Amino acid sequence: MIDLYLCHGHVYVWNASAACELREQHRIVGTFVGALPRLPRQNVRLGRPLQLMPEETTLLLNKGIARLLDGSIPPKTGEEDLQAITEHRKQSFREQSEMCKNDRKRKLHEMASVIAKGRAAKRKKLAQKAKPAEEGSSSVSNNDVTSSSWDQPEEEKEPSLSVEEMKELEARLDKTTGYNEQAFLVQILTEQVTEEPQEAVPWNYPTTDREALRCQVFQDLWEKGYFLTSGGKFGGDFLVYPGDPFRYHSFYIAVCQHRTENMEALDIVRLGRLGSNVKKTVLLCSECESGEITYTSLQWTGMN
Amino acid sequence: MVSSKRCKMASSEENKPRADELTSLLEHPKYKEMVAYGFNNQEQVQVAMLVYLYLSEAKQWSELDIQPCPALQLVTLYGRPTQAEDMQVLVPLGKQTDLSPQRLRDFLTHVPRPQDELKLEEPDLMTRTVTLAICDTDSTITFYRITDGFVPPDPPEIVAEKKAKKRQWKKRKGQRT
Repeated sequence: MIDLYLCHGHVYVWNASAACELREQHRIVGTFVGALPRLPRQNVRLGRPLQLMPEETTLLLNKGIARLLDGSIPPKTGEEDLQAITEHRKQSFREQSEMCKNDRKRKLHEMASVIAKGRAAKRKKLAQKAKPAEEGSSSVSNNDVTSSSWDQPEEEKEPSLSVEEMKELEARLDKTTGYNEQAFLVQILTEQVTEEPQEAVPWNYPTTDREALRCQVFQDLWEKGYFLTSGGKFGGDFLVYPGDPFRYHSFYIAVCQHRTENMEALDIVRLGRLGSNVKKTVLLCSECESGEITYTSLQWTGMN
Repeated sequence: MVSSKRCKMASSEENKPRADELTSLLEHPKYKEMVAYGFNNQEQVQVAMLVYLYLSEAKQWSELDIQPCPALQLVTLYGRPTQAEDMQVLVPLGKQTDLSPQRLRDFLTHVPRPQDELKLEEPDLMTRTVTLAICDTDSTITFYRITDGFVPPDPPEIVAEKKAKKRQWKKRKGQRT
């Protein structure tokens, strides 16, 4: 049973595996509407939550594939939950600072030759400066190792750090504790950690005749094995795909209209022209007297 | 575009032997035939006449003829765009004709097929497609095909092929004139 969450009139799926299951097994595509946590400043690719069309929700509930829960109640937080969350956050912070330290150590090893070269250059410079002043400066800097290892003068060698130097640098890294908690990632939970029994809430769609027709058409086409998405982009009710929308272009623009609802002949021209421009067939969907859905394809002939 | 169509129509009418007798469309024998069907639908008859003239004179369809549809009180046409192509059935409509999905279904079920076609092919298959000829007040006509059920769009290869053919045809036409 897949959990759908009703929040301010919209229906969302938060669970990633549920969203996959809906698409792969139930041909329900929906729309991703959430920002991707690592790429928050773009809206080309979006992530969870997955928003469902009302027709999709109605179908899933009718077929018993999913249940609808109230998504607008904030999760209850008692003293214990608060502690658990604080502890979880602290744990995450500890793990992240450990990772950060290891990362810097790795960097240190990578940069060892650069550091060594820099030191060698500095020594040379100091040595040149010290020549006129003769001795004295070296002993001072030797005592000053801990405060600034940069001016540590040594005998001229290959520019590489000795084992002792490396160890010393690593020890200094280990001592660092002043990580800023604000700079770390915070996991935002999209689902309740603790299982809590929740009552299913009622779903009242469709309410009007038109909505009812849309739902009927949606269900009928879905049962025929098509994938459907919202057709707003193409001036219809639904777009009908022969397979997953990632892999196929849509074949049809479904337009739902009641059997007796009048339109002008010009509307036929509009719809037909629209369809031919985007290389799709316009599918007029209406219910016949027996209640079944009938489909009429409308295409431009190419004649003028 | 529109005016050229009209010129074409007018000039071909003049070539007919009884040209000076024809003062308007209303005296065309086909028009008289349509009126004789006795449908209480003056406007549709006029539209049908315009479509008939356009297809016969400007487009030179073969085997073009008119046919009454008493069930819907409409004058319908049938013909072939070229000798090689399939017979098409047309319903001429004014641009403001009221249409409902049910009405479109009625076209598919009630508009008669030409008699000889029925013998050649299965009748139930034949009633699947009707072409709507929608006519504006300035006599521009557009043709839209309605079909029962799902008709997938042409695959990309066929679309490309059609485009190439059209380009070739235009080229040849350009050379001739």
